[in-house]
Amino acid sequence: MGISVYRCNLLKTALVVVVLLFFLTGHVSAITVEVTGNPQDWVFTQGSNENNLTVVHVSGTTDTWAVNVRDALDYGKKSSSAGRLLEYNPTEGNWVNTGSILSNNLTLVGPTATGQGLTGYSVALGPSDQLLEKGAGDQTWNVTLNQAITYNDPYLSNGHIYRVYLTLDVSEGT
Amino acid sequence: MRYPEFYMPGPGMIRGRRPLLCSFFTFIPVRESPASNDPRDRFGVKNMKGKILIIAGLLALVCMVMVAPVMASDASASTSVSGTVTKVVSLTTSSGAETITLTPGSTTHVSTVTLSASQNCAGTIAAKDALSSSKPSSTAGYMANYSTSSSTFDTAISPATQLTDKVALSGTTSGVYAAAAQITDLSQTSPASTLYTVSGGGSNSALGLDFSQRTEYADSILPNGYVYEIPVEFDYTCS
Repeated sequence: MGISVYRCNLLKTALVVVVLLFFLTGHVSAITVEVTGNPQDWVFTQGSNENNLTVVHVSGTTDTWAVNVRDALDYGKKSSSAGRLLEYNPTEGNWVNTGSILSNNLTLVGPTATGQGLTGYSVALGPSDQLLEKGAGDQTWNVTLNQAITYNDPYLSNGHIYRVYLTLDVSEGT
Repeated sequence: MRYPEFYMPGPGMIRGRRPLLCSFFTFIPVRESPASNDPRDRFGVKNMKGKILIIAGLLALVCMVMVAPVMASDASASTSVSGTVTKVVSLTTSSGAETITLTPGSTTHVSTVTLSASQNCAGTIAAKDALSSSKPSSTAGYMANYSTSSSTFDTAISPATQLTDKVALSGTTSGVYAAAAQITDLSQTSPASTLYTVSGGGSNSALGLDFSQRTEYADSILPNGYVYEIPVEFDYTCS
């Protein structure tokens, strides 16, 4: 039937256009999050250790956003060390899975700046996303890292270090 | 050319839809194609495809506008935090000096002195005669005569310069601190005798110490101003 063919072609075209536009708008995210200034040679002493060198930059949006943080157990980091720094062999570039784990989780604190529209939260790092910061529009802010050290946290005499990877996820419109 | 039935006038849905599309399209500038002047094209069939494409596009835009705020536009960043723990070892005794009374023919124990240890590495705690305050090396491991007035050891006095038997020392197992066998000779220096073997990091503010001294009848009574004394040094070595 003529009507069927013509109508079908139109619907197909419309569908393709809609799908293309949907994917273009839905999958090209404008918002970005960058992290710089992270401590790589942090010297831990007994007690509380604080560091606010980590800078987070959220850009590409005028909307509200939320930044969550987690230990994604990158590069095969063992799950029992989630949220805590694990012994790492910098020479071989791998985790020492039989090695030492710091006793306490790394704590992150996001800043609260009412005038800047930022609300920060204190997070004990873990394997799941936890809300660290809420804000709107382009923002740059410092994260305060806290690492408590006890005598049960071994000194490593073999050139190894302690390490953890932070994954920051930003969601727009939240 | 046979016109699609869709655009033929007729009853029902098709007839009802046509005015709706037309009214909507009045806001859309669409260039009329020559074909639309075809008197047979009563409903602008030739333009209809373009118009529907436009409405599809508009629908897509509406979708974008409506869906975009609902959808979370996500992005991620990853970075690492690395550091080292400084080596910490601390040893202190609860008392700088302990005074005891020695009784000939018996062994005197002193357990009032304790050791406070804190460390973040496994290792050993060793003890030895410090031979400080001019204590002669010949008296290593022994309590020797000490001048309370000059605060030095004085071997010149007669008749005795040191006790007959050496001081013995032992610890008490607690947590990561495992007491080694009793030290019966504090003169050992290379290496010093092990008092505790420590299996890891930890802290204990009152590790037990037991000094014991056998006193013989041959051990002389010292003149006033002198006492028998031995300075003991404790060393922690990370393994």
